[in-house]
Amino acid sequence: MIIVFIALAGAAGACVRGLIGHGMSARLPWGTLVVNLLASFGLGLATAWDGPTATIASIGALGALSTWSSLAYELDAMVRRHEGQLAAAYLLISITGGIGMAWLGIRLVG
Amino acid sequence: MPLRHLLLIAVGGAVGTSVRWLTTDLSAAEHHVTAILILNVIGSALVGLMAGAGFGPGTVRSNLVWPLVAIGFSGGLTTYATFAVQVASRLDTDRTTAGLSLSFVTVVATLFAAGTAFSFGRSRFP
Repeated sequence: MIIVFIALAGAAGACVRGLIGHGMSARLPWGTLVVNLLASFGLGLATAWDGPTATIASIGALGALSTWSSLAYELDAMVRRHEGQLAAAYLLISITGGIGMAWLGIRLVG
Repeated sequence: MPLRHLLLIAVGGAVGTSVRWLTTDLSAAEHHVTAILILNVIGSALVGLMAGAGFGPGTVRSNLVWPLVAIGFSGGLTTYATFAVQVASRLDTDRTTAGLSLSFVTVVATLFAAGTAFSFGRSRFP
């Protein structure tokens, strides 16, 4: 039964991600960056909680709010457009920022 | 954003998230990191393949398929947040090498998957 709620939470997380990223035409994909940082912080906080509600929120909503596939696609597209420096900066900000936000969330509740 | 695109993202996101949940739920706890890595690689390859085959954003073909499969399904199947917490928790418990290794392997594997799948899609479905 929990899978129904995880699916609904996943649908909601994906929709929020789609709406935040929609219409952004800047060279740097701010939408993906913002949702990944926010979701990482939220999931870091959620490590302190247990039970079905925490599972639905963390695996469903926060998991679907963030995305690796868009990040990988956007980085690949930058490299193909010969924007190597932008790709390197985007990768660096995403990795250090996301892990840093997750660490901050873990530390706040730990 | 058109409402039909939002509905397609919701359907794809629900299915992708469910597949991710089932994969981790059916795998042993010590294999969760590997399971998430594999899902992230598969999702990245799927989006790369679609873009290479001409279904990328801004194309005529992308109209319905991109929101459903790329933004919805692959976005729900893959997860950045889980990866970030897996790495951060290792760094936080002095397992620095494990955390950095997971970061390196994930970045290299997902980018290789997306790039290779893009090239394959472009050559097979010009």
